[in-house]
Amino acid sequence: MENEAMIDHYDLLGYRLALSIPDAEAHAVAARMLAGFRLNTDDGMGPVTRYVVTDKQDGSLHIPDGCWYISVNDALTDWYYTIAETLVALERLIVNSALIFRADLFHLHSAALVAPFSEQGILLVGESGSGKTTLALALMLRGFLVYSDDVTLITPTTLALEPFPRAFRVDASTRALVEQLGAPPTWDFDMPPGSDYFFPPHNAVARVAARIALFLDRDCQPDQTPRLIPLAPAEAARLLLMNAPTLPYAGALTIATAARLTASARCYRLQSGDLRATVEMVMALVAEGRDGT
Amino acid sequence: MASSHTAAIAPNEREATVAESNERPQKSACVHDELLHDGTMILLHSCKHELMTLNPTAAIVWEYCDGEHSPDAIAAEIREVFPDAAHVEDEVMILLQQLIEQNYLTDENL
Repeated sequence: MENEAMIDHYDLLGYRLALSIPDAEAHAVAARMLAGFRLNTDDGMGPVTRYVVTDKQDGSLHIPDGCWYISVNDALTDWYYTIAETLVALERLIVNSALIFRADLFHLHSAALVAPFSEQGILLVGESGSGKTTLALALMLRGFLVYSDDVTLITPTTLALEPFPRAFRVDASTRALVEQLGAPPTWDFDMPPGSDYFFPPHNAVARVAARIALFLDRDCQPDQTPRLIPLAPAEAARLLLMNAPTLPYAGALTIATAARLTASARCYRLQSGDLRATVEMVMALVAEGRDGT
Repeated sequence: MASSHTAAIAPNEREATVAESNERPQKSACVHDELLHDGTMILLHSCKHELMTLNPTAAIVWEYCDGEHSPDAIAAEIREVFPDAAHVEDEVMILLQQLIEQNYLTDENL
């Protein structure tokens, strides 16, 4: 079913866009995927990038009939066979564009949270598959407030965490672990566009500084005892920079921020194991300021 | 992502090959450096997409690579800080040679 010219406006840390998806069902899914960035109105201030997602074409685009495509400011970017993969690509394109727009911030492959009883921002740093999302969700069940899941943006001068309410990507194993810990019924892991998208409440709004950085080891076994290993500044800086996508094009700002982080944040390598035990160890670290080893 | 390694000053068996006293090592324009709070230093070679960390002593050597100080002068500065250390001059030359070979220092003045 088609909605005529329904246009929604979004703001991702100043990157503003207008999104038009005439298909009602696709529009609803996209609205849910980008809900954290939704603007109620376009106040007309600043440049707006125009995105259109549709399967309607006039034959001039040279793409197969029935395929979906994304155009940005009237220029075709790519096309896809299904609306699901189109919306996944749309979300990724919008987020990447916003990150480029905010190259003035320090970007980090990490989740970021803050404990409800603390003003210490916590970074969970690691490559894909290292367990950031799993641990972030488990900490959220203990009341931690979340800033971000996959990429964290940090103000270089103050080290403040910027709220970036992007949908989480939750795979089946993460979902199973989190459900074992007692995920509430309101956490719906089965919402479109795909079963691995999840929209938790992004409820951290106060800009706290990052004070703890945990670098997750990828190869950990769920039955092992978790360990925290303090890191020397040089090793912590190296790990931050290896997880900083802005390094190739904003080198000076990136290494300066990394140096500042290592000076003001407690940095540890985290060998996570049993999820409950890992959560308890992190909570103890935050609450008491002691190493967990 | 960038590779990284650590350059330190430590005894080893290689011969120093840089080292005319009238040469003035200069930091490459491709390199960003940042001092960490424990005295170590991290170097980013933006042209090679490579990271290097320096221990505190190597960081001092690096700071003197400003096109104004000869290797002998740099070694003399390190000698003042560590008057009882053995092989300071050789180790400074080895470090400088390493940094030149890996393009962290230019050899315009060499």
